[in-house]
Amino acid sequence: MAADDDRPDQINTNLLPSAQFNKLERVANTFRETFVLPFRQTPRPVYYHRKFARVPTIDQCDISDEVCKYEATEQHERDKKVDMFKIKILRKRLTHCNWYWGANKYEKCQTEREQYQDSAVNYHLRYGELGRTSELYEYYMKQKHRMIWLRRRQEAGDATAAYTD
Amino acid sequence: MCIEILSAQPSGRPCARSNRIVLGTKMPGWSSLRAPTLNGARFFLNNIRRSQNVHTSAPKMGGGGHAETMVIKPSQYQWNRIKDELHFYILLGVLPLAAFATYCNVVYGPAELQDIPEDYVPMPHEYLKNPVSRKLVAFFNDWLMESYEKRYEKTVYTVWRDMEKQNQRLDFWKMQRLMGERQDQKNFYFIPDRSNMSERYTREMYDHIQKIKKSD
Repeated sequence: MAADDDRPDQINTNLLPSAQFNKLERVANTFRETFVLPFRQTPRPVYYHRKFARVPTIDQCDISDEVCKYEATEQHERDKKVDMFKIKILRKRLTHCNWYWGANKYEKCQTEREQYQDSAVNYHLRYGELGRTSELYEYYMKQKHRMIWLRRRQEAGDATAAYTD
Repeated sequence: MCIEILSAQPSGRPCARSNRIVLGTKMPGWSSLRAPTLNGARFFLNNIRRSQNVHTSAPKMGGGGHAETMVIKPSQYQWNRIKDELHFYILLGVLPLAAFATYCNVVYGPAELQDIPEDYVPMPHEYLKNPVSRKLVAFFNDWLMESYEKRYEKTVYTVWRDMEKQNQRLDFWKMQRLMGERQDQKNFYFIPDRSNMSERYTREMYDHIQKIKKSD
């Protein structure tokens, strides 16, 4: 590999779509700075993201405690959405790396690919193959069955079958 | 100008008046359609390029001698209606809303994200980004729009209340079953007191009784 393989082609950078978008960005930024920003009110409005307190999960609830179960389901939905967004971000990184490197993507994007594939496998282990259920005990039982399956494989002689979170 | 009167036998000779187009062809095998087609084509070609002014049956003689005429021309209804509707929707819809949106974005602008400071509980309208929705939620806070926390607590309360009711029912059925199995009680039935189902009712009765006691 040559020394300048890490940088893009110097000759035809003006043809890249990013270069064309930069010109539009400059026009829009000048318009914004001359006509929009001088008229803005100085105490700018501020918004926050909601903070949710942790509540006991389903494995810490009594079997007949409906309130605990309801709060645990709400928390589980939020956690699932957070995991979805994490995987989206990793996937975006991988696709951006692939687009940037083009023909060299199999050599240059190994870290992004590993991260994405590991996180996708973990997401599938935790949330996948259950369909659109809103029942929390389905996910709980999936974890239980997975632990049992791994333990039986371990007893049968497979040393790599160990349960990890 | 003259109007051609549709006759059964069309004339094939040139018309004496110069401003008419005349057809005189002979089409074999189409004899039954020859007259109407020729007359229709003549009518069409005579009227295609100019609108004819027709004297009305009872022309109004205005002072000066020029009578009113009815102008025969294609309808302008669709074109006029298109202009009307465009005018309506642009002047009453597009321009005011665009002006309002530019005002909101230029003067106020979208909110900026920051971390929640210590020991501060933000109002429900401070979780939103758009200045219009912030203003609406701040104005209608407890009247029309309830916050997420309030909604959550209300659902938790309904879950708890229904759980309590079901537990009471289960205890009642268990008691009935045991009475039937053991047969060691006198046979007057247990009449359940349902007045504790509504917390609010019991609280109001309690306050009422306390007030009566204090006034004594």
